[in-house]
This record gives sequence, structure tokens and C-alpha cells, in this order.
Amino acid sequence: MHLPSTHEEGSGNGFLQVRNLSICFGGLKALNKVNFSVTEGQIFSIIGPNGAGKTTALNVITRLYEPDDGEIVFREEELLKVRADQIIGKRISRTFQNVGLFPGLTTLENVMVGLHSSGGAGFFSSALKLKASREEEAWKRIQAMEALKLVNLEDQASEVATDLPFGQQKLVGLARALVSKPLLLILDEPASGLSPLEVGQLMDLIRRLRDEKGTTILLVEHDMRVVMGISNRIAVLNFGEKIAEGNPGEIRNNPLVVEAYLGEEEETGQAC
Amino acid sequence: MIYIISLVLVYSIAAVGLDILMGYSGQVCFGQAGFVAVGAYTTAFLVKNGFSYWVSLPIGGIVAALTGLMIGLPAIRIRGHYLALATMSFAYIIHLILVHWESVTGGPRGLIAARPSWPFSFEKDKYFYFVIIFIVIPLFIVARNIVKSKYGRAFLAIQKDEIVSKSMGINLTIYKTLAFIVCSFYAGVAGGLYGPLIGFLDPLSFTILDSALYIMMIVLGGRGTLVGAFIGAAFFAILPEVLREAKKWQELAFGLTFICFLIFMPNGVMGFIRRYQVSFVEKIREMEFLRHYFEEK
Repeated sequence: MHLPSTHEEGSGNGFLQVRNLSICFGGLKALNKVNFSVTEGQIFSIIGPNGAGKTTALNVITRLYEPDDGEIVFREEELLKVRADQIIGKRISRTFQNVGLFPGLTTLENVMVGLHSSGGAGFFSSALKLKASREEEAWKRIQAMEALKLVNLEDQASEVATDLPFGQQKLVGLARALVSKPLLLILDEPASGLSPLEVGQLMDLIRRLRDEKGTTILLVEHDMRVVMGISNRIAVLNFGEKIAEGNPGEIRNNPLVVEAYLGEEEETGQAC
Repeated sequence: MIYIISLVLVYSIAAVGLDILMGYSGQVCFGQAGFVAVGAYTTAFLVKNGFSYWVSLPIGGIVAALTGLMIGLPAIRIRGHYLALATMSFAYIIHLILVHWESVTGGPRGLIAARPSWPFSFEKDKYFYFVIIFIVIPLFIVARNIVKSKYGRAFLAIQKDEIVSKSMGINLTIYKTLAFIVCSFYAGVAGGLYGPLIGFLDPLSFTILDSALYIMMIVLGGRGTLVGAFIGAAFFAILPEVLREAKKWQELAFGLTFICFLIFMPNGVMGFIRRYQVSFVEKIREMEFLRHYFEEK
């Protein structure tokens, strides 16, 4: 009996499927035929040593990089046909490793930018402040406040976002990604630069997003406590290739993974 | 006096447009005088050929906006110094067209820009001043609405981080071009008002130096504040009048004051005021904290 293609990767239910993804940067294979499949409602982590291609994978999925080869299917839609600025319309949103808040805008306004493509008030409506644009702004302000409440930053709403301490800036970045109510939330090293206490709160929040809102989360993270603590499934990248995939217990005991983190550093990536 | 205020308002409307482009969307434009010229000459040409001023002025703005679209669309691929050079070349091309397309622009001899005569004559500066007020204030309010709306936020977002902006769903092509269109429309309307105010259009009023002057206005007033554009326009419209006696020192004074501003107020007058405001508020907070602290003791 022929199995439908959505079951090819075993655990996947066809929510997000990455197949044979390859991308080269100046002769270096940043990603080499990477396959993985994210199940709806789970936390899927990508780990690996520095330069393994984790962030590159996220950037390809959010269409910031053009891959040389491969396929990305999200809810039965081919993502490679979609532009970067249309990704959020597919209900995928993301945070950035270096946060990327907009200086000069308040915390609230930063989060409101996350709702940019929601609401259809046109240019003339906004320029003349017609009813449609006023209502849209009011709605966005409420949504943004609710997102800030989720990360406990509603008191900082009117402060300039880039004046906040780094840990809070990361949470603003998270709120900006959450405000559009994504089905798939992509987090690029959310715990880096946070204090141990903040990391604990972040883990709780990510778990709550999965369990209460049913958000699927694709996580790239260096902090093993976070990865092992909250992931349902983990993929390990090393020099652009997937060397292992499994649940936290399997990954912890996988000799290949241990070697990648602790072992030889002779390899310097493969030429294209 | 009324004439000077009118000039300030006309300059400021072109500077406000440029502020939306440079201060908000972060694109450098050394061609603002080119857009002003397109608006000014279109309006004057139409009026000369029997159209009403009230029809010609918006057409002047729209033609300038279309020029802005033509410049803005290819300009999305370049930024920084390259964009500065490209827009500078545009201003230069416009200047050459003004000089050489004599059948339309009158060439070096220039073009008469008549004031409207309907519903009554606006020959007196006092009356035309009200026309300017009547057009400039709504344009200023609209500019304010734009920068406070999601469009303003998107412009700022693009200026600060293009990659993140894309991920937030902002289409860079559309928004960068839109900023150019808004900027050039404002410039075009300013041109349509400038002509009748002066009474006469001359290619020498639309050189690259004039483009640089608009940039100096928003830098001096404070980029990305809108009000700063107004302050800068006031400064550069009034300074020549103050220095009328010392004509040969005028350009030196321009340059020196500008350099002083760059050194002592790098964020312009508005940036300076805001920083002062912030430090003032911080002082008060600090004093209150100390008061509480000592009261508790």
C-alpha cells in the first residue's frame, strides 16, 4: 500500500515539512539535504554547535534566504513560492537572535508593527484618519497590550523599547511575534542573554503557549536546559547536515551528538 | 514680513515631505529641488495655457508624485551614498531640462507664474498668504496622520531594520516607493505655491544646492520629527533676510552655522529639545526619589 507523502518522515503530520533543503554560501554548504518534519502542537528544537546552520534553516523557512534546493511545505502549501513579507500572512512569525527591535518606537508600537499586515485600512484612510483606520489602530493597540500582558510587560508599554534591559527587549520581540497569533512560532535563541530566573520564566511561557494556545514552536537554542526541558522532539545539525533526530532522552545519549559537541574539530564543512 | 512667513511655509511643506522620506523611511534624497521644480513648472505651464490655478496646483503635485514614483521604483535597489548620487543626478537632469526645453519652461529666461484671479485677485501678498495657509496646514496634518499611522511605523521599521521589517510583513518595494511618492507630492505642491509667491520661475532656483538646502533644513530641525522640518525651513528662509546687508558673507554664515549645528546639536533642534526634556524629567524623578528616601529615614 502506498503511503501518503506526509508520513514519509515518520513523526510528522504534515504541519511543517522540510525536505532536502540545501543552501551554499560562497562555497560552503550551510545546509546540506536537511530533512525534518514538525508536528502540530509540539515544540521542535534544532540544536548544534556554532555555525551548524540552525539560524540559516530558520531564515530559509521564513524566506529571508533563497535555498539552492529543497522543499518546504507548511499546511500543504509550498512556502518557497511565498515572499518573505507574505510569511506572516501564512501565520508564521518569528523572533530574532539579536532581537531587532525598532529604536525610537515605544514598546507598544514595536509590538503593533507585528500586526502590520492585519487589517486593511488603506493609505488614504490612514492619511485622513478616517473611521476605518482609527478603528484598526484601536484594535491593534488592544491586541498589542494583550501580547505584552502575556510576557508581563504591560507596564513598559509606553517606554522606548530599546531603552529596556536586554532581557525585557527579548520579551518584547517575543510579544511582537505573538501578537499576530501565529500557528507556527519560530524562536531564534530566545534564552541567550537572559538571567537564569528569566530563562525559567521563558520556559514556562513557551510551554504555556503550546499547551494553552496550541501554538507549534520551532526553536533554535544553545541553552541545553531549555532545549532538554521543553522540547518534544529535537534535530541536531552539524556542519549543515542533520546528524540525529529524536526525543530529548534519545538525543542526550546519542554518541554522534556528543561527538559533535565535544569531539574532533577537524572537519571544516564540505565544499559545494 | 508676510512674504517671509509665506516663504517659510512653502519651504516647510517641501521639507516635511523630505522628512517623511529621509527622517522616516531612511532614504537619502538629494533631488528635492527637482521635485519642487516639476510641481512649480507644471502648475505655471498649465496656468499659462488657460487652466485655473486651483486645478493646476493639484495636477502639479500629482505630476511631481509620478516623477517620484519613476525615481523611487528603481531607487529601492540602492541605498546610502548610491541613492544620494542617483537622486542628485535626477536633480541635475531636471535642471538641464528647465534650461534647454525652452518651448515649455522658457529656458534661462524663465516662466511667469501668475497668481490665481478666481474667485478674486490674490495679487496682494496678504491674500496669497491665506491661500498658502489654507493648503499648508491640511498637508501638515495629513503628514502627521501618516507618520502616526501604521504607514509611519512601517517607514521607521524599514529605516531601522529591513530584514526584520520584511518578516513583519512589510513589503519593502511598496513602502519605499510610497515614501518617495509622498515626498515628491509634497515637493510638487510646494513648487506650485512657490511660483506664484515669487511671481517668476527661474532654473537657478532649482539647483542641486537648493536640494541640499532642504536636507540641511530637516537635519537642522531634527530628522523624523516633522516639526523640525518647519524649524529648519524657518531658519533657512529668515537667515538670508537677516544677512541681507552682508551678502558676500551669507554663504559662509550658512556653512558655519550648519557645521555648528552638526557639532552641537547632531539630532537637530527637536532632538536637542527632546534630550533636554528627558534629562529634565529624570532630574525631577531623581529629586522625588531622594525626597522619599530621606522622608523614610
